[in-house]
Amino acid sequence: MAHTGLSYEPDLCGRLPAFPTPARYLVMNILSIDTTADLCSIALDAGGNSFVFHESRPREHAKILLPEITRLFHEAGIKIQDLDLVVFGRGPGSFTGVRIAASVAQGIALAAGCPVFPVSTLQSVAFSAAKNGARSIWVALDARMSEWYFARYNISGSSLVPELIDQEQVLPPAQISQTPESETTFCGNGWATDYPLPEQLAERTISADPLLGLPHALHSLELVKILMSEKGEQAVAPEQAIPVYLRDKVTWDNKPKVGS
Amino acid sequence: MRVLGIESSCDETGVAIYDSEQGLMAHQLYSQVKMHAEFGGVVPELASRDHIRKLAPMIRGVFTDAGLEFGDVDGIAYTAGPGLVGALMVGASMGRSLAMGWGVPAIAVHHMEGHLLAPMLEEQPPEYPFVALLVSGGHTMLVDVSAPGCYRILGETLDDAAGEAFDKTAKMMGLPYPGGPLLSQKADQGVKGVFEFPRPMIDRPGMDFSFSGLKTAVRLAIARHAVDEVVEEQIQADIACGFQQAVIETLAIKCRRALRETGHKTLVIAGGVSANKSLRTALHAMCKKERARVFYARPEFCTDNGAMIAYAGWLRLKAGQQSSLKVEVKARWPLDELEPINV
Repeated sequence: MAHTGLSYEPDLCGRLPAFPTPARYLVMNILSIDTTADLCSIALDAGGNSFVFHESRPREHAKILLPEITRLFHEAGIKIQDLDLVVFGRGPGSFTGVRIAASVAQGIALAAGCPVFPVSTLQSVAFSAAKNGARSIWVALDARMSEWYFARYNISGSSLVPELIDQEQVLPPAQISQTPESETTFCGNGWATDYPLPEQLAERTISADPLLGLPHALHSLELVKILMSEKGEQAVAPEQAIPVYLRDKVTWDNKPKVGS
Repeated sequence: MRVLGIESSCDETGVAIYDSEQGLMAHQLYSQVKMHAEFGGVVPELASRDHIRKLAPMIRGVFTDAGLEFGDVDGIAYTAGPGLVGALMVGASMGRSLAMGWGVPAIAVHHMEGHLLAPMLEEQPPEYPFVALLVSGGHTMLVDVSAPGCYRILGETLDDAAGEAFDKTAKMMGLPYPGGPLLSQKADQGVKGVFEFPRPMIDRPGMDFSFSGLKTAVRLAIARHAVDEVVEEQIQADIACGFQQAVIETLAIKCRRALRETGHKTLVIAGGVSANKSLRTALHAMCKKERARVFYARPEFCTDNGAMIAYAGWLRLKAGQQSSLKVEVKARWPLDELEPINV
């Protein structure tokens, strides 16, 4: 395929070529998508400008994603073959939503001959908070079934990259044992749920910014640029860009029956 | 015209390249059957998770196998239903976005149309019009195929699909999942006529099927012959044989009815159960008496595969049909709602 961007395919041994130097990121054409929740969020960085589609369209992602991506490319005046990188929200989030984003990211990257960067939805929301000045960040995304996708982050030094403490988890909020600091910022739509909280959280007034409820594709894109330039994190070949679900128990024997 | 076909409607990932000049150029199939075995059936979420791991490497793989440059196709066909929505979504989203990226048309394909057209990939394909018997784990139906894309449903199963009845009966006998093919092997060791089970719905007019009553009859026979919950090997084989005969005879009777009603002289059998040797033999015998001919796909294309999707997609793309950028998949999708294909 003819394309003007960066060629990025594994060699015969499956090794990936080294990624370009940081300065290159400023002029890269990057598509970012997140369909892990009700929001259909798309951002395109092209020629130094950003083009964004960001709307709440539950259960319509598959129908609107490609037409909206096409519209953004048209606005930006570039072709898919001009892409240098595809970023997608790799989860955790809605299983089907995560897979729609992954399938589309893989499909577009395969066609463009460019790599993919799977970004954590939890880290992306934390990054949105970090941009607003937060230093200690707790992210909770609604995982349904009375559980949260949960992670804690710290911002240190001058970097805006949220650094993960422990690990990303799926759990009932009541199982959270840590106590937040006085200046901790709470974000993610999990805080708007009514799932039972542990004592140390229940007795505290938590005000989570509703604007930082879900991942924003443009923030994910900015985060990835910093992760690659500052932290040396690498994009992967499209076929290696697979979802992270966190919830791996997907067969239930004791599913509550309707009407019981 | 060269078409990439993608199938992900259930527990098999299939990818293929069909070329109108060169025929089938490459095809790859990955079956998840072992993964689902421990649950005794397909777990939809696990199926979807596996499709997304397997699909992209297989897409690269078929281009390599075919000796083609990556992306050297004129269109992409993907299964859009009927099937498991989450599983379909993976193949449909990836197929549609690849086509968008390559700037080639894409077409959403009906899974059963794919099956029905699979015998067209053989050296001696059937000619229109014909009667098609679609028999698999998920479907049992008789279709009047008057022309490409023109389908009239003659009859369908009212409960279990034929393949499902095979699998469930096998489970009753304690055979591991998916037991259908194993049950069929057991039946070959059995003696015909030792067990006579009812032939469901053959005394009624019409061409609908029902296999749940037969399943119950087999359950009772197993219970009657069980000693300490174990049925002796030979009796098991005889029961399996009786069960298989009942299914096959029922299918043959309805196929004969379909041939007579439509006046067609060609019968096409497709779907997983169409690989059953005894079924093929019985339908050959019936068709000989009716002065009709039987066609079926090679065994590897009786089960789900990407080749049949590539072929069905090519037929529709060639006729100028294509699907928009809106990706839509359907759990249910009546075959007779499809647009005819102008050739």
